[in-house]
Amino acid sequence: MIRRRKRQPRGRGRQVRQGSIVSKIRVWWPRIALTLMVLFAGSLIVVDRIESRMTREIRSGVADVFTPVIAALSTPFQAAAEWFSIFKSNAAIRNRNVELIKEVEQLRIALQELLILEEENKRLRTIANAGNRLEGRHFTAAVVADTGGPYIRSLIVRAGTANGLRRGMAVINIDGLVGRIVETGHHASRVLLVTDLNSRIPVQFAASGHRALLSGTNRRQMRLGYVSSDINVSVGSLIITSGHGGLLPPGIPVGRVDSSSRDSILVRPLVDWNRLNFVRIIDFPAPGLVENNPVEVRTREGRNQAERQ
Amino acid sequence: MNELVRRTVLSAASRIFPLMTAMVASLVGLIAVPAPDYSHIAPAFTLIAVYCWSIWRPDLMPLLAVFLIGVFEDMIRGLPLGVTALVLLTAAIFAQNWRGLVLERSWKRFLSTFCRVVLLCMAIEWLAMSILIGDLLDPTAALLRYLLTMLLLPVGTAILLTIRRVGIRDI
Repeated sequence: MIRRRKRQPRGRGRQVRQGSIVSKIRVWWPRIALTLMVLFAGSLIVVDRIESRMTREIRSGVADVFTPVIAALSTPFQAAAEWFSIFKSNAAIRNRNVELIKEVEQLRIALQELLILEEENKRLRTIANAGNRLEGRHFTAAVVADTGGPYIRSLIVRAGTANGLRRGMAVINIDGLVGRIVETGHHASRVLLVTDLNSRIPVQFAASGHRALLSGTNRRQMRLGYVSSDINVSVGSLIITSGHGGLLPPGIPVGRVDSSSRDSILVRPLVDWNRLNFVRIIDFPAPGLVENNPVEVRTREGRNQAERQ
Repeated sequence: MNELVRRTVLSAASRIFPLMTAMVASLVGLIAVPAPDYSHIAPAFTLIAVYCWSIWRPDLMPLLAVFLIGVFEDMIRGLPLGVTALVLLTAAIFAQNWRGLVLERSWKRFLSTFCRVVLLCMAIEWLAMSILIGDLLDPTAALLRYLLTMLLLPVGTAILLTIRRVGIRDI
């Protein structure tokens, strides 16, 4: 007589002796796994605070891979926005056209004056050995994603190291300073906006030349700090980059003083964040700064030499 | 044989459907919608996806998957790594614990549980970010985000229900 052993079910349904270590682990496993994951999440936060090169590169890589996907997902929304703009009333468009024609005429007159001033400025800067205001190469990049949510003010632009971008570069648009590059992937980069809580920019009053430090607040206004107590700050004063520290070019408009009190001076940025589709990135040759990565420097120098030839 | 291979592939694809939908949800949350200040109050689509799948199919949304989605979202949003993972894990744990109650009762129960879970998650995120930045952050944007997430829950749920019906009915 052949006695068949009763087959035990595989996997989860398999019988385990009550009270054994395996059964105890099986009962406690969901809680153990959860605790481990919460601990791992906590340690990730700590590791990320160190800002290691590895985490930065992983972030850049992920942004690089998914930027085309986000761009593709954004297409219908941008198309819809353009579609709605077409449906503006005819009369409104006609009025706008008249306004724009007037504006163009005024701007043409202003442009003539500006060209004369630019020549004069160049001549004077050459005499003073001050260099050009926005010297260096410029790149144009499309804004793909508006990231960060309520806590971080940043953007992802569709240009990266392949286009010659590197960390620290200034990002501007026609209105003024947008922010600076903080992460670079191969084809995508992250821009930290001037309004972000971590943003600190050395600035000066355009009229008086008094220096200050502009800090982001995560709100619509930025806070001006380290302002000399003996100067009279008036609402509407233009704030521009001072260029101190050598990271940002001097003279880029940043904002206008919105309110001034004894406790704080608030500045409203010039950039309209809701119309930010394209930005310009300035490769500003920082004078006197020592580069961290000699390979990167050599590559850039070689490229510049090739361009000159 | 071909039928077996086809079934195996389809089954495997169906199993990663919840993970994929949550990833797509996190990408959708990043879309540059041309609306004033939208990006600051963009709804937490990933939270909706994780909550719904944790209630409907917790076997297809294990905690490890939730953790990975959180890390992915942190990377793409530029947030400190681990913050969203912590938030999504909280949502998944509560959803899985209250699963029985939610499934037995009505849509009203589903909504009220979601209300509480999202509020808790947003509070954890706000607290974590405040600690990391070292300053008590303004909670207004987070509250508006919470309201927008609540408003968009029916739409998100309807989309996920359709995906569930079409994509993973066989497993």
